[in-house]
Amino acid sequence: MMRSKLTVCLVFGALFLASCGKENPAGDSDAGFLHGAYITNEGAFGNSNGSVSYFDTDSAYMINHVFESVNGRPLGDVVQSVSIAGDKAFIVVNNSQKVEVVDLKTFESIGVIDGLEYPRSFLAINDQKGYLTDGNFNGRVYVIDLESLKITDTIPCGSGPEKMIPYEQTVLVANSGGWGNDSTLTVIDTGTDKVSDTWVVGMNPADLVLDKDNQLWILCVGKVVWNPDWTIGEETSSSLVVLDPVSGKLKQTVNIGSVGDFYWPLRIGINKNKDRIYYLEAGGIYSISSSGSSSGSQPVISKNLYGFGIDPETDLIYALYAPSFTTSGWMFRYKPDGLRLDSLEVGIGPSQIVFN
Amino acid sequence: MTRLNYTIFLISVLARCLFSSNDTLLAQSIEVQLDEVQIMGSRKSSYTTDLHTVKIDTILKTKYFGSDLSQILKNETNLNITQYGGQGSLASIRLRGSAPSQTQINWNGIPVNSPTTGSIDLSLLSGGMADAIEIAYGACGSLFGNGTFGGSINLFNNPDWENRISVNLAGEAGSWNHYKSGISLRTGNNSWQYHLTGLYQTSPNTYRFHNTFKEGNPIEYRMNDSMNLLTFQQHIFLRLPHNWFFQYGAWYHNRDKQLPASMSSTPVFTAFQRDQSIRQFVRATKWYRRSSVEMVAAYFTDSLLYAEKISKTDSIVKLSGIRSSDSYLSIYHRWFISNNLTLENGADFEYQTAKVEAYNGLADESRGAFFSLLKFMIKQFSANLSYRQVFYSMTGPKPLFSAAFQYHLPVNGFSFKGQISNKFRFPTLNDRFWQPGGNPGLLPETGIGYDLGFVWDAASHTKSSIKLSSLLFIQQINNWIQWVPTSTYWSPQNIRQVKCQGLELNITGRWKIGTVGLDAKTMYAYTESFDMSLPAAEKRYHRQLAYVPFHLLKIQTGINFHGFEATMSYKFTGRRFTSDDHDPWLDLNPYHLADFSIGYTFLTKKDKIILKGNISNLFDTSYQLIRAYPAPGRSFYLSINYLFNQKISKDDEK
Repeated sequence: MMRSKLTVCLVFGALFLASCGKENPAGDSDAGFLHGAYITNEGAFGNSNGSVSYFDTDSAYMINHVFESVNGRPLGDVVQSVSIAGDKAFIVVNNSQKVEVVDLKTFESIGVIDGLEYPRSFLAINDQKGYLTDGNFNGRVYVIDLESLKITDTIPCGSGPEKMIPYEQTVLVANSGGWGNDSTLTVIDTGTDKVSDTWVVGMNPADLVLDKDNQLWILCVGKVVWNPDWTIGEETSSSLVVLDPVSGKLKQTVNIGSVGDFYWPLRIGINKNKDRIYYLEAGGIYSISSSGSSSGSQPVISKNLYGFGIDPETDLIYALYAPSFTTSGWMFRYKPDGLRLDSLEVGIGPSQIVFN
Repeated sequence: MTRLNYTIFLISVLARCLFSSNDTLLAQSIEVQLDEVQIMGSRKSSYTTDLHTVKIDTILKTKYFGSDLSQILKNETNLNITQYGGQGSLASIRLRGSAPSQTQINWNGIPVNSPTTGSIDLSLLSGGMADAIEIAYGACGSLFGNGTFGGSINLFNNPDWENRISVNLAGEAGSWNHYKSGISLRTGNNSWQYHLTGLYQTSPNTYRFHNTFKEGNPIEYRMNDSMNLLTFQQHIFLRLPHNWFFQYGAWYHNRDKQLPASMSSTPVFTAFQRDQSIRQFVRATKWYRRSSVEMVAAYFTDSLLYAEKISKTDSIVKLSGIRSSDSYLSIYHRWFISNNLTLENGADFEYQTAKVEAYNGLADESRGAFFSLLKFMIKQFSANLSYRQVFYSMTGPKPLFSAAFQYHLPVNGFSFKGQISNKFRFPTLNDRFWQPGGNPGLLPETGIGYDLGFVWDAASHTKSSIKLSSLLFIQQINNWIQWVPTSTYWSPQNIRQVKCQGLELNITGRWKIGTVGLDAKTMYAYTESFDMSLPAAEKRYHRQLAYVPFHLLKIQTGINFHGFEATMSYKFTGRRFTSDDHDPWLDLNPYHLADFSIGYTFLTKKDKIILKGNISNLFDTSYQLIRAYPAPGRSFYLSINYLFNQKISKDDEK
């Protein structure tokens, strides 16, 4: 522990000197890494070179390999997602079958959740417990005790559970199909940790956001059936599905992308006012009004990207670019109208970004 | 049995019937003075005489009986070998800063590189079953053919015509429940020789390592890394009437291997791989008064079965497989125009097929080439010029040329040598046919290399000898093929321009003091391998390629007397970058390795028994050859070789 603290001091010290007069909020305040953006850099599968980059949104200061800097060891293989809960971050490392839990004041590791198989994303329910999606075919949501970091319960759900979103006393789980297909959302009662309902939405729902009218926007990847020779036997269009999160009633479906484009979208985002939905498709980032029924044919940002996020304070679009999986990626910041502001280097294979 | 297999089998049987009626000694009837290797070896073995080469031969039968090529190269050379862990794990070579697919590996002159990937797992090649291994640095494309930017590694099986019958029984036991046993039978006379070698090995690879991915770097034991190997080789060599020589070789190889998780992952069983190969070839050589004609036919088949348990709880296993074949034909004519001038002309043809799920069916490809070589020698000066025209179904490389010289100074033992040569590499079947992403419009990689060096071979005599060689090389590789992400999937593209340059320095010495023999060997290589592809490369520009260390050093010393022998070796491998832009957090640290072995040879009138103990990684160094895959810590091995009816040399008796 002493060594870790010393490392933290050294890292902060070095960063302070390197910034050369530029304010470094991570190093000289108690806030540490509490406020900013966290980029998950997957790394190349099997190479154990995934990492997390921390970006201070106020000073535009980027720190790469923040976990390694503080803890003196690599993070792992395929860093899948980061979730923030209070002053802790839960870093899901998919192919290392673990979740690293760090204190955001220092980014020091305070524990590991292991015994997992195919972890995808974490969601804190309250101060005592959180949910973690896991599994490929027969998926499950683990209930995690945030004090002991142990699994206390298992909630069965659909195949390939991916992202979750809280709504009132429930959590909605997108069952993305994993390496197969699924078309449901699992509704979990957070009071009982039981499945209260299952809604059919669209083929392979992967990500979801709530708009200003509390409509649930679900990004559905579309159905893909592979032949034994790995040619595509059957494919349906990707879509945005709009749903009432109380009744589960389908309101509208907007097809996006095109069949045969070898692109299966996974990322969706929403702006500060929650009236414009963004999603990543072949060719770049597209948007649609929350009151609209069709998306624009031209992307807001035209670039082959691997991930993106919308800053909930500024509406700036953070686009993540992976030129290859053997070299560092980039984060580009854009105004909502698509004007590029700056670019910063991040780790290998940047795929997701969360803000706190 | 396929038609080709049947034909080869028939030829071998027919040849065996013929030899018994005639004992003509072919080699003795040749007027031109050639050494035994040139007569009996492959065409490629004669090419290497003008190149920078390292040869490993006399120790293979005993020290490395049945060892795979990666182990031999790691122990005996300073070559840059990367491997995913213990024995039998995927091993590759990056010779002179090139990629694994840019070094040609030959078995008796025939390439064994995979049609699907262009490279071959060195741990799948039983180098210890060869009689000699030769490393030809920067082999010329016009002489050797496809994929020689790094060079060529050649495994040879040669006959010993004086042998009547000899048997080698070998066994080895080592740390982590490693066992290996094998037999080698060699019999024949002046007209025919038959070799049969078989090996069984089991290596659970449950070795100890420091897990640097976990808090406190705890000591752990490797799991799910076991390997089982069964392999056989047979060779028939025939001297026939009317100055014919035949060689038939067959090789069966079956290896089952678990594929372990990286250090950062939970070590649960995830994957298994079975590699099977059957390789056969026949070589026929007809000697005339001042010329010879050689014909080679080969048929290789490889299969790979991969099984992965993709869900621990659901017990669902994903299976996939690859089958590939390679048919090879070559004919060449060598004309000894005079004692100083030789002209060789030839052609080779290769037909490759592969059935891979991602190809959407069977993919095939054929390619051919004509080539010529002119060699001349005037007193201390020798040189060769060569030319190759490639025929390829896609856009092939332009005509290839090479020129090499060697000049022996009047000063004792000094010689200079140099070479300029074109090189090329075809896109692999994966590059062209993989779906999605395969790029049928890829161009072959092309380039040019320059070598210049000197050799000082001090006059050797019975008491001592010393040899020093140093060589500078520069090489440009254009249209380097790399898989890159496109908008929707990965696809190979001709995007890289790479410049490799460096220095290779070898010093070997042998001394005899009374009955004590001493030998020492130092090999050093400095290698730069820079990505020069601007502007697409961005931060990669002028950066050393991943997994290519600048410095490699190997020092080996040995002593022997009265049957005892001891060897100590030291190896240094410099820092290796694992990302193209040299992210310092991802570098692999330099490491130092030491090995020690001791042995004793018991002699009877005709037999030898060799007992040997070996400590690998003497100081238990924690290191990685591939990021996140730990290499074995200190390991102990004990081996015994019983060599029945061996030639006992005077050195042995002392």
